[in-house]
Amino acid sequence: MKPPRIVLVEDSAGDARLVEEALEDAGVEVRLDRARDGDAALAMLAEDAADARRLPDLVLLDLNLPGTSGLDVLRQVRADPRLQSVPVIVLSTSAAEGDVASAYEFGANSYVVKPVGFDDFLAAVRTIEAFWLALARRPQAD
Amino acid sequence: MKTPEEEIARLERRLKRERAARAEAERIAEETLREAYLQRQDLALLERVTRTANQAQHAWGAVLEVLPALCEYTGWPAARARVKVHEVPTAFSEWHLDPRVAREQVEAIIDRHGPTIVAGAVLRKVTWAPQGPSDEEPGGIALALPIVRGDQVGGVIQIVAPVAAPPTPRVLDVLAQVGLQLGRAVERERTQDELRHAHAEQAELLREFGRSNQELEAFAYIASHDLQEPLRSITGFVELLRRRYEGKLDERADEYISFVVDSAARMKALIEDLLRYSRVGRAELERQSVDLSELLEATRGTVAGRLAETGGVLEVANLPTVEADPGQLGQLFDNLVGNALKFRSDAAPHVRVSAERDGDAWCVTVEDNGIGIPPAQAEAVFELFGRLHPRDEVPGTGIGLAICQKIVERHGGTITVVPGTPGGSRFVLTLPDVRQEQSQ
Repeated sequence: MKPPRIVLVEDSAGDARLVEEALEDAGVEVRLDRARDGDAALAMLAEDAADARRLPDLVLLDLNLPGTSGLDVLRQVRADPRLQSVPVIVLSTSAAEGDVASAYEFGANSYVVKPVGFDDFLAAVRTIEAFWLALARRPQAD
Repeated sequence: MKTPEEEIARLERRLKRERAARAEAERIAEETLREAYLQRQDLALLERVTRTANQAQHAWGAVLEVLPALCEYTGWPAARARVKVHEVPTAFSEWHLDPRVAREQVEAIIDRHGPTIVAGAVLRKVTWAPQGPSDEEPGGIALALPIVRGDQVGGVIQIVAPVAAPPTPRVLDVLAQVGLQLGRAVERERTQDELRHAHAEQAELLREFGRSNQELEAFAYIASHDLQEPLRSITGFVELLRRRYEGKLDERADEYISFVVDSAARMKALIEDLLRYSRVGRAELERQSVDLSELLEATRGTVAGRLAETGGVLEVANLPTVEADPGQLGQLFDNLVGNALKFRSDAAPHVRVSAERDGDAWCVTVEDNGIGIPPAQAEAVFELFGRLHPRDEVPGTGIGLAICQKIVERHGGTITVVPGTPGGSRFVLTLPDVRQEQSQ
């Protein structure tokens, strides 16, 4: 079975690498495609949307992006009916109630506060794997 | 026996005496009447001046209003004035002129005698010139009436006549009183101006303080968020380094890694505290009834770990219900009690929280038996990043008390610290009482 495909929208090389290392440590086999900013992410997803079989299994979206903001990307992704089935998990440095509420309002499926320690990254990744990726591995109802 | 001639002479002498007596009586009566009339004139003028001085908004207006009355009183046909409320006197007003007299004439007189009367007025005395022997001077006669407030000259009124008798001592007296009354109007305007100015300055200072405070909070917010990313890299990759190279590095490398890990942890604490600090100012303040006894029990839970490991005691006396934001108040007491346990002396820490009424507010005291704060540092200790001890002696970011002060001030209260008795510290803060009108 093909490994699930994750689109990681992250501008920080350090943070992106930490996600990769955490996935590796957690023993999660995935295909990770990285977009460095909002515009690149939207372009990538637009291409994917054209073909239902190319849709990613999960999008990890950093809110703190240069240029087009993370919330804007979220809004546009949710506005595209072809991307309806793709879960989007928002990653953010802010734990403030207002920011969490905004993310959910814009259509995020889940909200993860970016951890500082690596062990916390590992825990976050394990949770994501256990829930979201497991969903992806379920056979699709036709 | 008197002859008829002698009788007539006697009667004539008596008549003459009586005529003289009656003339004298008439003279006295006339003088008394005149005196009474003058007194009435004096009183009328003073009453008029006092009323004008008390009612006027501005000294200038009061003085101008009084000029015609002064001309009427003295019988001199021209008067003008200038006023000095602050440092710089105004220019002289236009002449108030009786229509019989010409301006050029008046100006010629003032040119001639002006310098003399000005010199006297500076000494706060009613001065007139010329003080020569003759009653009528072709050069006219001029008088300066200084407006006196305390030992300062608040202006001067000049009164001029082409032809007049020199002023009597009584008139000079009355005019001096006029000067004093008008001086009070000047004094009042001056005081009002100074008060207004002080208020404006204060308002501006408050605005500026608010602005710079806002800037500080915004900065703290942005800085703490932007600082998290590089911190994540440092922490994350050092930990990865440790894991992936466990046993493969020498002892020195392990020590280096320890230092980095510790620094990163401290930086994390700093950033979190900075965020907390900036959030206190930015968040909406919820005003609820908060039972302080309940709140302190929650604090007990927060510091339970440290209480246990230090063998410490948290004593909570009877505490009132106050009007406050529960979240922020929780932070406040967590901080204060946490500090009391952190800055402990060798004895087992003992922290006591009590309260008493202070007018229509509550005065809450948190006292401990710890290492205390020297009175000289009592203010500095609340400053952002204000630390009193080296980093390796006592851990802490130096932001905690700044947050406490911000929270208390946002609730309209104050917080201070004094040495405890016998040792340790006493933090005293004020919080508003529960509002009497409870809605719902």
